[in-house]
Amino acid sequence: MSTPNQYPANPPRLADRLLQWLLAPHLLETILGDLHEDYAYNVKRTGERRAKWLYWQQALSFVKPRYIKRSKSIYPSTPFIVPGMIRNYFKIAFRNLLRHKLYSFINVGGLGLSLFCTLLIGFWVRDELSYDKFHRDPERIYRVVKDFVTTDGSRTPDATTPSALAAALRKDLPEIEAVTRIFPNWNQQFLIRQPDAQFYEEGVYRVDSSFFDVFTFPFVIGNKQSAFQSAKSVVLTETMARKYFGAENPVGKRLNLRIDGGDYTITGVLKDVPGNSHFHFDFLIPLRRIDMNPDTDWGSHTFYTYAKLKPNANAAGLSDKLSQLVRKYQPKDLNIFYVQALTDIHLHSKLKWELGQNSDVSYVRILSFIGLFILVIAGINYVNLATARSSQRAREVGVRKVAGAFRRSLIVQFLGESMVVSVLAGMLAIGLAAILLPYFNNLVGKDFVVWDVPGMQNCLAALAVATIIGMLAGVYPALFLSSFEPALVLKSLKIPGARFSWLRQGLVTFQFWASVLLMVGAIVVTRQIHFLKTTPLGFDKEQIIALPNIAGLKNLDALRGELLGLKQVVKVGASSGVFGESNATNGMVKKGSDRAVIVNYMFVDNDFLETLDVRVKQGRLFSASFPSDSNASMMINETAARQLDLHQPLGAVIDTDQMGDYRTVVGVVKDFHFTSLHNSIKPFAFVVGQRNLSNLFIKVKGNDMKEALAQIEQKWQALVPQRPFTYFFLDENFAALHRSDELFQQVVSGLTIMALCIAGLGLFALASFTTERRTKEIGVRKVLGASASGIVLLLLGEFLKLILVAVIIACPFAWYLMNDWLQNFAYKIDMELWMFALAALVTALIAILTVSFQSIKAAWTNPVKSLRSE
Amino acid sequence: MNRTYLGEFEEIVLLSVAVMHGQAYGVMLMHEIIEQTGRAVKLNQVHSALQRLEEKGMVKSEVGGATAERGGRRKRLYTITAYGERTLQQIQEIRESFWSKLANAFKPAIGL
Repeated sequence: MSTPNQYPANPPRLADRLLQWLLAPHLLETILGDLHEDYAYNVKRTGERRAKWLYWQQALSFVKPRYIKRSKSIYPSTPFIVPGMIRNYFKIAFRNLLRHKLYSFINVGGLGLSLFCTLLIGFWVRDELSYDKFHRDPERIYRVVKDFVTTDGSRTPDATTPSALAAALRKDLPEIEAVTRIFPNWNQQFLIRQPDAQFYEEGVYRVDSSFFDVFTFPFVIGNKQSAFQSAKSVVLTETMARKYFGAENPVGKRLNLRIDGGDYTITGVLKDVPGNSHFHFDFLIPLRRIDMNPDTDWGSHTFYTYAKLKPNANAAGLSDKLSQLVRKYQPKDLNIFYVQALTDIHLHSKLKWELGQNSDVSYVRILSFIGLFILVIAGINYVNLATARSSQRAREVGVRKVAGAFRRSLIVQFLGESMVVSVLAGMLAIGLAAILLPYFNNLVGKDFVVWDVPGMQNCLAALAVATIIGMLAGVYPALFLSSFEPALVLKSLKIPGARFSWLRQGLVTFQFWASVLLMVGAIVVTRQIHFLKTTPLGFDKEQIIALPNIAGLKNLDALRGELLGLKQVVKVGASSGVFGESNATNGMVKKGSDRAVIVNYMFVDNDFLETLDVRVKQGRLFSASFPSDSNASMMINETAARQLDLHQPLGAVIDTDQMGDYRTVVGVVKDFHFTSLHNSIKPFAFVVGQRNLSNLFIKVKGNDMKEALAQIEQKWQALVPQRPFTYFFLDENFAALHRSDELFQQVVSGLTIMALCIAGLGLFALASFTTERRTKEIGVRKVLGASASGIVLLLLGEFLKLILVAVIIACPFAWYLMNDWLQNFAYKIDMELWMFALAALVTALIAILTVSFQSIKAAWTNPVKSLRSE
Repeated sequence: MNRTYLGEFEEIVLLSVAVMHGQAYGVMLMHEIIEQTGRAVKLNQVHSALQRLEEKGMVKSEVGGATAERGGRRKRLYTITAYGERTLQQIQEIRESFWSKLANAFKPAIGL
């Protein structure tokens, strides 16, 4: 620059900056020189203001391709990729990895761990997204469902449909290619026998013969034409074929299913139902029966209807047509029918009477995000470490440049190095996954393997993600390292990367931010699940053994009497349903009113409520001393009393089916949770009905469950030898309702811990490098009288500042997200301040532990040592 | 015609390079042309003309001394090549031959 007193003002620097950036280097000097000379002339001639204006005009007129295009070098450039150099890059990369073991361990290990977590998440997410897509043309298959509508207009979404609907669809809607009905086992267990073996089975579906036109379940033996030729045909899965017939070909053999009397002939064997199907069946039998015509029955909503549309048919218009169609046959039907895409059922459908428990798309989203976070945290570790230890590579860069390396080839080298790290990490992740998948399967209840086709694809995807991360995380360090001026780094005048750059601060803050977010999430989820498990349900589910197999038992009273005689048994009661499973519902009306309320109900015997310790609030329990209880009494819960608008519930008369089955309320029970805490308590009613009882509940005392079970089994064998003894514990059954929540909690907590570990590792390494860089500063400070604690605080302070910022940013995010998640539950905890404080504290603690380990070491070092090495 | 085409502005720049005897560089040329022709000439026009002339081989350049006004940056000094000189001469000859055919060249028309 010219001296200021001779030439009072310099030309606009911004214009110069622009030209320096844009213009081709070989033209820059003369052009800028000419411009400056002209400027000096103009200042003398017209004054500074005008000269500046002219300068801008002149300068901008040079922004043209002619001046921007770089000249071709007259020297032959080094080829981009030379085998020898590539070999050298690899050699240097591996030497560096081996030389800095801690650094390599943190990089490869951290990245590997995060890829491992992401790979597991990937397995799970992919499986969730693949549900029901294995059928041919899955996008053309729909399920017909309905909103159950009562006279007062309240709606309950429900998956079941009447059986006549399918026949009407087939007849009246031309866009439908095929329709099938499914009648599942509805909690019934079938005793299936062949001469040598008998088992209870649940997976028995009755289906139309068009089942195989809609769905794709490949046959191992047999085909879809011959499958259901007679009403007594049965098709079973490979596993079942093996279970009942071993290695023999079962086709043509007979199985006794004890349905409609008599033996069924096996007509085909199917491949096992894939895990990613929302169906779970082992046996298929025809739906057609001799005693009833399913094509005309609009009354019983116990069937599922699936339809496959013709290609190019419009699914959206179908829902409208459905209601018209139903009105045509059933003018009085209020229900609103519509269709659901088959592939949406698993993640989006939450209707009453689903075929099995569905998952939820929010789990998929949340876990994908966590996976992304973990990857980013590990990627940040790489960027931070690579730039922090750049001083160690500075001399290498200098020497390479002096020896003729272009910046380009250095960038290739450093990118390649980060790729080596990430590919190693990817292989580590795949190895870990191969070893640990069985445990993961155990946790989530799936059966993933690495070596089938989707597994291989997932692993390849993980490697691809690893390479992409290597690229992304490597770009900044590569640009940074390759930018060193050889003259500077070789003279060691300025060691780059020593200061705590804003980029690194930002990245570390992001890591803390993600950690705090994850931790608040994990804390809230854990507290909520704990809340779910410990909230009193309003009935006693502990120490209750349930026998699910008493439907239609003739000597039930005798069995009950024998069981009561056992010394461990306190009480025995029976019911038509089980708390925690779906209940039958009816629209019920107070006598004299016309407002129907949907009420869940259950048939019970006189002792059921006492066995499960359901508390009475008003009135009395059912009792044998009131003969009218058996057909004219009912009990309701508080919510039912409220919703049925009963101010004086006792003695009120209720029409329990809107068809004239009047019953008098004899008691009101306190509200209890008969289903998961996701849902608020709904109206519930108990009526006495001896014939509908299907479960026996036995309340036992003492700690010896095994002994009690053995005794109960003995009585069962004596009195009911024709049926196998099966049982379950009511508390376990109820806990199953929250199994997916619990699983979610475990997975989120596990992943959070992983993320914290990875972030902690990165921080540890970063702290050790920055501390190392400041060894001399610390020495000088000590010589000048700084205390060890002062130095530790100084080094810690930098990180604590970042944590504070991260916590402040993370808390609102966490609050918003977790509040959203809690909306899934009707009964939930409040988010409290301590949850955020705890997360912040743990994060700070991790940072303090990792950083202070390094800084204390530095602070205690004798300054003579650190200063002598000049 | 087998000579390289020269634009009018290029011709002027080439002439001024020839006139300045090895002391021609961007700004100087600009000022010279402004002075001689009275046109508003911009620096970038001069530079691009010089670039084109150099590509055609009519001028050659070398880097010269720096001055304080230029912020220590060196000049690029242009000199005309023999090819350049010949081209100028050709142009001149062609014009001469036309002028000579114009017997009664543009007498000021004074209407009497």
